[in-house]
Amino acid sequence: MTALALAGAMTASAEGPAAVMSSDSPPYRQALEGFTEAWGSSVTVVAAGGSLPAQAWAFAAIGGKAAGRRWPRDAVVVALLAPSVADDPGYAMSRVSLLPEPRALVARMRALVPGLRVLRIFWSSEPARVDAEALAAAGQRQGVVVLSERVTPASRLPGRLRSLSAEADALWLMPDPALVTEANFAVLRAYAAARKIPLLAPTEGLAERGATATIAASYADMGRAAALTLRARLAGRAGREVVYPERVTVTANGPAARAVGLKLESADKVLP
Amino acid sequence: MTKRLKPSAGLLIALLAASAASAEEDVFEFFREEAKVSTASRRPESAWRTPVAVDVVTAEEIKAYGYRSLWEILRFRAGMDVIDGRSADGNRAIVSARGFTRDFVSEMQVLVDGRSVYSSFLGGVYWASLPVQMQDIERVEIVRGPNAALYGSNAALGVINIITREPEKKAAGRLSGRGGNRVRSAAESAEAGGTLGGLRVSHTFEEAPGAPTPNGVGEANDFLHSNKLNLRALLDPDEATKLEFMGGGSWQTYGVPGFPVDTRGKHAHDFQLLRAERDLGRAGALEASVSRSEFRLEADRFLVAPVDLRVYQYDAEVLHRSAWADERIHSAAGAGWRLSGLYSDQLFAGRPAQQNRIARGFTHHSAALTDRVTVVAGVSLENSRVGGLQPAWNGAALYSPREEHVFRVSYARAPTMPPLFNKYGDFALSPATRFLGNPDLKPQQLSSWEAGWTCRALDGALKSGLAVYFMRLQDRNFNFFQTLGPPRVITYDNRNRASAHGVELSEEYAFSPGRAVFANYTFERIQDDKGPTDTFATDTRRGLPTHKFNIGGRALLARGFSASALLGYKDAYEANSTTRGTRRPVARSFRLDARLAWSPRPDWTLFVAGHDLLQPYRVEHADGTAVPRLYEGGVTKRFGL
Repeated sequence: MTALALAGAMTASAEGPAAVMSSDSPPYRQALEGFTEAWGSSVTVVAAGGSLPAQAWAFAAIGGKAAGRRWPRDAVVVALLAPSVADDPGYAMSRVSLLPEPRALVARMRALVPGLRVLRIFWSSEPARVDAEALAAAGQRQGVVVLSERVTPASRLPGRLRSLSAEADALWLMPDPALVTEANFAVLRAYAAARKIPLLAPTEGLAERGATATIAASYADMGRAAALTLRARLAGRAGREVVYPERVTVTANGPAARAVGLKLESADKVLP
Repeated sequence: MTKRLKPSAGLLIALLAASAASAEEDVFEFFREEAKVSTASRRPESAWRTPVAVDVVTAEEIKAYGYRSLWEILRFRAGMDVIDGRSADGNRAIVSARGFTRDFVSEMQVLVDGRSVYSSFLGGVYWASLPVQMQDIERVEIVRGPNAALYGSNAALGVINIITREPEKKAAGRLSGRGGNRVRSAAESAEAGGTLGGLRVSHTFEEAPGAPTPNGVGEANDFLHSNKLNLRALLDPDEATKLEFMGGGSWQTYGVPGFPVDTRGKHAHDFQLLRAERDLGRAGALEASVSRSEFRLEADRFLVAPVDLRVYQYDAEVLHRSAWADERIHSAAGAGWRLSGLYSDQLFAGRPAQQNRIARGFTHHSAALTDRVTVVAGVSLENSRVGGLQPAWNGAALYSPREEHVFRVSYARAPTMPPLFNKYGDFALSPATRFLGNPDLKPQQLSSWEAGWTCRALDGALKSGLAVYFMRLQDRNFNFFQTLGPPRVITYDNRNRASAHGVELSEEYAFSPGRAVFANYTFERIQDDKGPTDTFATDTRRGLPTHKFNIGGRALLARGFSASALLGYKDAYEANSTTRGTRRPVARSFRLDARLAWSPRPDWTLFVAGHDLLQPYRVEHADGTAVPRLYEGGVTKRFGL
């Protein structure tokens, strides 16, 4: 532990970290609760547009608006629920990905989709590249070819789907805000249904909206991961640039999953 | 705002419960909020309800069915007329929609990545020498029926848009080779790229002895040596802008059937295209392109005389697309300019350089009046040297009583410009026969009435389409004997007219990934009131099969194997060649193609295939080209998958 980190840890211990919130909307609130619970002591909460507490230098930036704000020069920041924020914003920032831990994600997909050999993923905004590459690497290690394609602007997705040349056994919707819209989701659903392949999504609520299954970490778990990362950074351990939440919940949309032959016994929850 | 929170189980449960309930209401809210943070503007595309009959062949289907050429892709589709045959100047296929097949189908507009490849010389397309490679094709869009309001004159019977895929933004490559009883070919491509863009270079070589003699015995001097080279570069400086450069060429040497083996012709075709696209967010999208192309023909024999010809074309086009009124109205407006010309001492004697300039403006709108009713209207105004001021328009109404069904009725009117040869040509074929253009030749006018239905049922797995049409072609352009000689003078006029009607039915069902079947049926009939003046007594009433049907299926099997089969049927018809003046009755026939492929790993594919398996050879054009039964096998290795 370096002297600086030790001093920082002591300060943080005295003052507690600050959580900077993009807004009061439910996902951010759930993440904050997870963060607060895992941190175990008091947390100062400020809005993204507000002033930072004078003594604080450790922060959880919850949401893209919060993560993208100006930070003190020596601040230790862990961003979460901020998929649109680039990895190198110019200061030391760790990022908790919306993507579940890639190896665990691929393992759960393989358990869920019988004979999964080729997985197709789309992404649009540049910050999603890191997650896409991590997923491709994890797939390669587990014998799954990940056909990764950037679609930019995301409005070209319907056109790309019409012209796909290679077959895939499943589609994974990357948690890229540019891509996850009602219109794109409807197009992907129709595409997957027409080919009788599963559409797998990264947010639990999408199973209720027609995704075949979701493989997702909860927002609260992302908050918990952020708290553990922040503690590690303050303790002087080298902070990883990208942290993936390890607890994953698989939720299957029962009728849709049965229609494409998913193994429902490997799901944690099955929606009727 | 600053507040302090202490972890409390009760508060936590209450907050989580409230949050979960809210999140359930709109799961996309979080992504919408985060999307506001990123820089690119985004506008989801609403579903496009097409006012015309549209068919799309994807790269996946091209690969699965093992199509070997552009016209093979189109052969088994509803409403298409595809014939293997040779024209006098080395064209190797005839492609038309809804009838009117002849050596050059001047009423079909063909685009490669949006660039017109229609030849202003005789009208039509040199299919075999188009500088586009099978390995680069992303999809082929087939629009049946007039669409001149969007694509300009000559888009009367339909539009075929061949779209190649963008380069990968990573290192990738592909090597493939195939060989069989009458073909050897090799294709390679290499791609590279990164965040900002990508680049692809691809090449295909093909060598084929071609068709045997009309009785199927011996060679007919129909060989083909072909090289094609393409480059496509893509630059994405930001998420809303795309810049592209495409360039390429096709170089071919072919034998002239019916002449000694050293009688040959050469085609050289090259092009360059620069295109920019900008997504303007709520203001729509803007596209601009400039292109240049050149086609050279050197033939030892054009009918019987040697010919040199150079055809060139320069294009510039700008197009703006937008959606407004809460995306209930989609609009497109654009303008284009084209300079096309040619040079040939033999074909345009005395006036070897001929040019045509075209300026065009167009606008096209689709408005959703209610959730169920959409109206579409488009108009184009074109001014050219060969055709003067020519309007084109279309209108359609679409009714969708349920989400999966769309009914449409449409009307369209489209002009077809006369080819430069028909207007200004002067070709002494022999001392006894001379072709002479008619400077007063007017554009043909085609009017079309159509009703159609499309359906996507069973969660989109079943796609059905039905189209019923009636077309009237006025001021039809045809040749006639001006003097019976000697010398005989053949020239052109607008005295003919024709009408046609037909029905097209198509079904496609996808069982699961890679497993699909399709079937289509086409009924076509032409009433040709051509008058007494046609030089070759061409009778288009009997010039096409009345009934056609095609069925096909493809399946991914176990252990990396996949299989596909295609079966086509054509009624009997009387083929006629408009450049040779020959006629030939063609018996009804079936055609069967089959393919078996094996991918032991995702990057390796081996295949064997057979084409036209039911007979040793088949004649389907008036020139007597004997299309032989083909066997072939091949291997493909991909890198950087």
